[in-house]
Amino acid sequence: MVEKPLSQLNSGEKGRVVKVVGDPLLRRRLVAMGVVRGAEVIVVRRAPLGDPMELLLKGYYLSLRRNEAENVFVEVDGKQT
Amino acid sequence: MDKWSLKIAGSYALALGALYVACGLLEILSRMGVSPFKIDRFIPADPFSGFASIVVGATYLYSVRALLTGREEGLPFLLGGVVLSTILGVTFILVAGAHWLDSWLEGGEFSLAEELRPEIWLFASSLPVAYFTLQWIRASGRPGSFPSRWLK
Amino acid sequence: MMVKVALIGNPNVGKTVIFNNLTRGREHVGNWPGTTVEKRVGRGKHKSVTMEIVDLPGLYELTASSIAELIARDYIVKENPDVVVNVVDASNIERNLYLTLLLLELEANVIVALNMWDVAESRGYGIDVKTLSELLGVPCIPTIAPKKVGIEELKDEIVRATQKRRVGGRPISYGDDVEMFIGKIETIILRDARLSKYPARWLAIKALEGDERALKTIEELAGPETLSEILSIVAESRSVLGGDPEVVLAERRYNVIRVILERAVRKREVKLILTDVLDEVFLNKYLGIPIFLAIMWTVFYFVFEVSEPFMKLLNEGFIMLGKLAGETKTPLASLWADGICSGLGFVLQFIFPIIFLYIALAILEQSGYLPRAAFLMDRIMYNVGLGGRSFIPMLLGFGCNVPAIMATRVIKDERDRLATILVIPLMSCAARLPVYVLIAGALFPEYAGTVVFSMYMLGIILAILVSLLARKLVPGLKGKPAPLLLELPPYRVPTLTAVLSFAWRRALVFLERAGTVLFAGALILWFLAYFPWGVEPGSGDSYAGLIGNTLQPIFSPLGFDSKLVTALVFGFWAKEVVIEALGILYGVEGEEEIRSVIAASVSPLTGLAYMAFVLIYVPCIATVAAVKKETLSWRWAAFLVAYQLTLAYAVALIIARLGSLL
Repeated sequence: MVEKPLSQLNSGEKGRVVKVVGDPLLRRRLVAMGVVRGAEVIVVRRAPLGDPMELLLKGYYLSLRRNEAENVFVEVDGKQT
Repeated sequence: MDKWSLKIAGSYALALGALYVACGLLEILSRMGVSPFKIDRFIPADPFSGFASIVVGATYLYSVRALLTGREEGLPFLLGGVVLSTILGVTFILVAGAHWLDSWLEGGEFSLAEELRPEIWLFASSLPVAYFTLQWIRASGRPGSFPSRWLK
Repeated sequence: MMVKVALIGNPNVGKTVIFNNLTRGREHVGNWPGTTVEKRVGRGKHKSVTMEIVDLPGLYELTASSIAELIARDYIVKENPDVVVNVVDASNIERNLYLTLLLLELEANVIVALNMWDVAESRGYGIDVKTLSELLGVPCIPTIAPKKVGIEELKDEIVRATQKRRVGGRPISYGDDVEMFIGKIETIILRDARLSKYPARWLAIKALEGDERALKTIEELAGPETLSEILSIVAESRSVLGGDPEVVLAERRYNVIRVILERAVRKREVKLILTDVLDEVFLNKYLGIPIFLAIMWTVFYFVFEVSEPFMKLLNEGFIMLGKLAGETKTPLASLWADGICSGLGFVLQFIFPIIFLYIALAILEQSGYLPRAAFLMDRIMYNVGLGGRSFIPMLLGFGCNVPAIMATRVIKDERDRLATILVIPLMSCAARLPVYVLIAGALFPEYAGTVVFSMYMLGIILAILVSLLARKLVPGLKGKPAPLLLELPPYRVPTLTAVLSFAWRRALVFLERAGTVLFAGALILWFLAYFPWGVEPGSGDSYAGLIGNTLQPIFSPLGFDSKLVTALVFGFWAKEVVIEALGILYGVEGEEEIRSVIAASVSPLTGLAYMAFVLIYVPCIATVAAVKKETLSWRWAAFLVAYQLTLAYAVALIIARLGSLL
């Protein structure tokens, strides 16, 4: 298990949310949208210009900017990168 | 979907996509005054609609490689092409209606040949593809799980 | 009997269609007091019960940090509606139930409408409605709003629910550790009678979460001692719960939801999800943006081509009406023909592009493409100090600034929205094009296309600069764009009635608000052009001409003569009028004539400066009216006028000076 910010995941990678940090307002919005500890997140794709990213979690699609996704830490199966 | 249907669809998409791109290019070229043919009665000189046509064509062409080798991965682009072709085609039909109304009010000229732009007849040619993709959506019976396997 | 029903739900759950089904079009649209958040109230009747239905804004949670959320929360706490219908997207039930839990905390009399039932089925969700109702403790009704499935049942349930109000209680437990703290705070709250009008458990939870509004209420009503007592419990909870109570509570809510769904929902294997398939194309790395541009071009083409015959028809109708006053030229006849009729005709001809633009916008919105556009464009927009949601309104600005400004309502964050409103007028609207074409054609016959194009580019560059500067300097706009957190909902086929009713409502709003201002402006300009009575209308002797003459010295550094300045005065009403005014001022008719007069009397450099000025200075009074309407303050409208006049002057001056150096 490797822990890293969600923003570093590649398209198609899957992770489980460990913690959400950062600005309280942003954190509140994120947890309300279901980005809570234990939630499983799949990175679906990045926008054509590289940012924002599209996620699949709790059965719906959510898109976050890179600087927002940096505040979400996920654990990923597999080898250290 | 069996391999042969996919291959046939792929060939059709290749032809359709190529026609869209060709018409789109001609629309742009004839605007720039360098069109090789004298066809402005059937292909209007409109760079923007030309661009839109090229986009539709490119979407169709995206599906071709996978379909011709019998893989379903091309089907999303086929469907996307149909959706775009419909948006463009229906818009030009509505606009033709508006032009007709305009000529009726003003007593001006209304030429059906001019209104029957490539976008309209290419839309009509896309209808078999629409039927095909509809069949695919209805019949695609292979189970996956949510998220569906179309999610890379 | 009259019952109050509130509709609430996440964005994109089909709440509006449910609202339309319940009210059958009998509705009143306004704003929530003091805000630009749309308030829709409608009436419906079912089994001799009259329902007054209020559509609350779409939201994800009920915190004190956004206007929409405060409106909804205050409405439920203070107005205490008999029934709260929570519209839930059944295909996205996990996230949607979060709001449901918050409503249950509020002790509202909740009915859950499991909308988009068909989409949920196609995604393989088998929802056991009976179990779900039992676990939530509230009735759940499956609905498919566009097909009117489940609407009668929903109405039945509303009537039934008004008869037996659910009383408070504790339907859902957030775990012993959390409950202990909620209980402690609740005891303190229950002790104080002054807090009794709020649901005690809800207030306790909000206090534990550190909700500013709740803490302030407690302080105001129960005094600072009670507050500090509560705050010490909150502080204690932080160390015991091992984290921010707010985050812990959110996690617990999602845990509760997971437990409920494990029992009430069976997931089935599914074949294919249309939304996934389409997004693979529409959000494709290479095709995504070209497709977006092609779609946007199609929208514009549709709007302008289709509305043209209608505009012509209307215009001619009003000219005919104007002729009713006869040929004799008296002030009264002129008031009728040149003031009222041409003014009304002018105002009303806007209505067609606006209706068609809104039809297109409604299709984009209801099909689910709008959030995708924001997703595709966010990178660019973020870099210029705005967000992806600002892109479509700004793009609409190239058509007409007025609906563009009204369309900023899709931007949730208030500061982002204001910043967008301030830069939209820099998008060259369709009315400015004829001015460019005429002047560029007269002065730069060889490069007319390039010159016109560079005017559009100048507008875009200035918009970027203004937005970047405003986010640094202007109070009320300072700061970074709001977080994106954008949901990409399933694609859906828009319904005709929903699209038409959306467009029609918006058009009416435009007529009501902008219409009066526009009409008044038309009359004022008529007066300025035709008086003192007897002068050649709009000529140098009219009041407008006098204003132009008086103002001319200010503009002489830019090289504008008094005729050009007078035309600018008219351009304040609407940009197309500039050409007409120039024609009158030069005493010529027809575009060809105007063109040759301009070519003879205006230098290319002055022409360039003039075009830039026309681009930048206030687009038209309709836009100013729309800005006032959408910002609820004359201050922002005045700021817009002031900054645009200054900017226009500065840019024109730079062009004039630089040009004379070359």
